[in-house]
Amino acid sequence: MPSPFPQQSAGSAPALEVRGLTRRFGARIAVEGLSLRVEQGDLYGFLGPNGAGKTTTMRCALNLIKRDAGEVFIFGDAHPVGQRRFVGAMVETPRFHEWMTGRANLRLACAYAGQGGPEDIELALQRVGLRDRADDRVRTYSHGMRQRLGIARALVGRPRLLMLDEPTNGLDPRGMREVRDLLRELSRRDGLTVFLSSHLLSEVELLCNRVGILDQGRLTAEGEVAELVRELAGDEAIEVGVGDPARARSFLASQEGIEVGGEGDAGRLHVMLRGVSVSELTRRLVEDGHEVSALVPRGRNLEELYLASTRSEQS
Amino acid sequence: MNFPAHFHKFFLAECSKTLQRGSGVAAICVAGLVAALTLLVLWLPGHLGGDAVINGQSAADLFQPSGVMALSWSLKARNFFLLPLLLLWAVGASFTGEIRDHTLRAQLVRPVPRWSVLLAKLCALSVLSALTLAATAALSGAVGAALFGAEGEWGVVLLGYAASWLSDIGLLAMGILVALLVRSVAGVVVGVILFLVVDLGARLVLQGAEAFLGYTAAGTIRKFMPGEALAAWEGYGDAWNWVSFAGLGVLIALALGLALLRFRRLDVA
Repeated sequence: MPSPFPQQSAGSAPALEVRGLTRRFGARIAVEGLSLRVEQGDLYGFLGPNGAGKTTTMRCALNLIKRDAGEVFIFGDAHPVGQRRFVGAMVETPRFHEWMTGRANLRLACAYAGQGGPEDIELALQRVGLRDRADDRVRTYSHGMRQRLGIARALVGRPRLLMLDEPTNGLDPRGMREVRDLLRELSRRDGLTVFLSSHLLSEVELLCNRVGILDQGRLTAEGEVAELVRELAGDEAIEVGVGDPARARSFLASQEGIEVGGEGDAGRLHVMLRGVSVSELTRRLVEDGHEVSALVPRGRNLEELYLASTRSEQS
Repeated sequence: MNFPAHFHKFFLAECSKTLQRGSGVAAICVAGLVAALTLLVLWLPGHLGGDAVINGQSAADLFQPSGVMALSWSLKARNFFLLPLLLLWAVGASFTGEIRDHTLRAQLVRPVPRWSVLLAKLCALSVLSALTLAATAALSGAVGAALFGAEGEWGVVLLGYAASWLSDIGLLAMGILVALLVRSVAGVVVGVILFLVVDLGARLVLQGAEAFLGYTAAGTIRKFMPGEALAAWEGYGDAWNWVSFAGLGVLIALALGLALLRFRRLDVA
């Protein structure tokens, strides 16, 4: 089946470019001087802790809320209305007219988009696996089905850029996998650019080629995932096997230059060393009476990058 | 400020939503019910009180209903209280309800200027108002003519229905302005009623100032006030009050202008 989506044009403007975006809510600064760039064809993961300003950024980019400062360009278009003809969006939990069927809700979306017809609706429903329930009223849908319908709604209207806020929120593992595969297919086969926010770091790592990490309204890291992880070379991640992990965790948490994360195989602690050598770590543990059974270097991943880039929130 | 080429599509979508909502269905049903009750009120005296005598004359001779009377009384009953409230409920559901339920953002992320969304919603609500008037007129006129005869000046009363539609648009415009300032559907209804109560009080003060203090300017101002403007339709029985229609025009323009200013600056979460 030929792609219903307009193909990206090579060498043209970025799919999404945000320059100096600032938004305050009273005295609180939600987003400050944020600049980011999403190239055509990117699968861009937008990460950050709760309240970091991810949804505010999306709302500002879509002109749902006012900006105090800054500019937004979508495929080079700065016009607040015209630029939205390129966009399919799902902001926060998708909401629908509950008394209407799923299909009727998509028809409304097509009417407002000004493009797309019954074939687009059918294709979108098929892609999110909702064809069988499309003629049921939305009030009978589960949370996961609403999430899928939200993605279908973003797809109708032939967008070139998908902006999705937590698209797998509420989906079961199979559903999450399906959405991930769908987004990958939309990116690779149809050439759509995808800008998504997520709390699921492993998912973003599996799916996205570029990430931006937001902390307290500021972008603290942006770029290719692999490249950003390499930049963490000054820090070292290891797994530490000890006799009493709980006591060791409590001890390490009090040590400067050492951060303790989750647990690996056989109860080994995930430890991030910041300016502290492995031998120094071993010495401190032994001096405190811990029995060290293993010290295993860990491959760097997005979780560590995320933790390193959002330290301010933890401190 | 380009007019969206696909305006007709989302206007039809808005009509579909407005007419399918509980408020839309209720308004059309009540419009029919008002006509049915009016017909019953006109029909009953001649059939239940056949022997009643008032001042030496039988009640049946004193009260002779006609089809035109059914049409006219139905219009007055329709415009009295319940239908305006239901129209305000529909306004609230269309604006405050959609903002509260976060369904408005699905429209605003599409390539449509906000003024055109407001216009589409106003047009859809005007269609609802026209359908309620049509339901009342069709039922009361057709059944009234069949029951009581078709003699009389139908055109004058039908002009009253047309004028009522204009008055409804004024009410809708006021409702839209209030809907963009409050956070609940009930707030829209209460807000407009409070405004009209204050307006009534002000008009009474102006009337007093004219009658007892001789301030003729007070009378002129009173004619342009919202309450008078919304009652412009009442002139069909005697003589049209063109000042009230001018006031209605000012009211619609002012309310929609302020509503647009508010809507353009509104954060839609």
